[in-house]
Amino acid sequence: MKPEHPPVLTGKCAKQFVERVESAPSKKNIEVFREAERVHKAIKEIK
Amino acid sequence: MSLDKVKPEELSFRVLQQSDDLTEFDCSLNDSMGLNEFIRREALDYQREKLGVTYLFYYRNEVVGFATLAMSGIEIKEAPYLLSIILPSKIRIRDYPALLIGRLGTRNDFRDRHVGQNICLWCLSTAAELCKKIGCKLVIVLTEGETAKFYGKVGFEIFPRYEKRDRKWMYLKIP
Repeated sequence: MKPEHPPVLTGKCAKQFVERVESAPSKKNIEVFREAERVHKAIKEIK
Repeated sequence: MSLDKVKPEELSFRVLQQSDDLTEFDCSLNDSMGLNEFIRREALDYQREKLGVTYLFYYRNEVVGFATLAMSGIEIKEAPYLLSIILPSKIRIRDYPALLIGRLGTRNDFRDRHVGQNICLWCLSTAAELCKKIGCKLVIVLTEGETAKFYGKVGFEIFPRYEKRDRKWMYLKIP
């Protein structure tokens, strides 16, 4: 399977993307990463 | 019949090794992204070439899923005058460093049991840890069909201009 290159953004798409990324994180965004941290701690590494 | 959800506490992980035999591992349902082929034939080569590290996830000593992670980035072209208005620091960012979830697969008989979701969340937390050490603003993933819905539920957004495409690049910013 060929790897696909990630997006290169130009013009309005770039503006739209940067506006979204640079805006304050949403409550959902914060909650997802809080849950992610909990899950990460729970899944133990096999050594 | 609905099977019990697999809790994160019931999973464990380790990095893919040369000795791992994954010929019996099957995640072929809705496998338009070629996950089976990747994990059976290509994942080790990617790892040897330092293009992506594959993590295997275990439930009761059996591999039930995997994720391959790599560094990546989103390139911004042509709009510096717009971006300098948006960013308070006036820094003109041309590249957004990102962690790429290159592949994420769940064994067929463990679908709909939260294994994929747990692995995805594990990847997000790995990205959050990375961003403290080397700089990483996003998690990105290439999706198709049902997988776009899966990542959408987690909170990923579709990149502008990819909304109507079959294969959609999606991102989630690290807060």
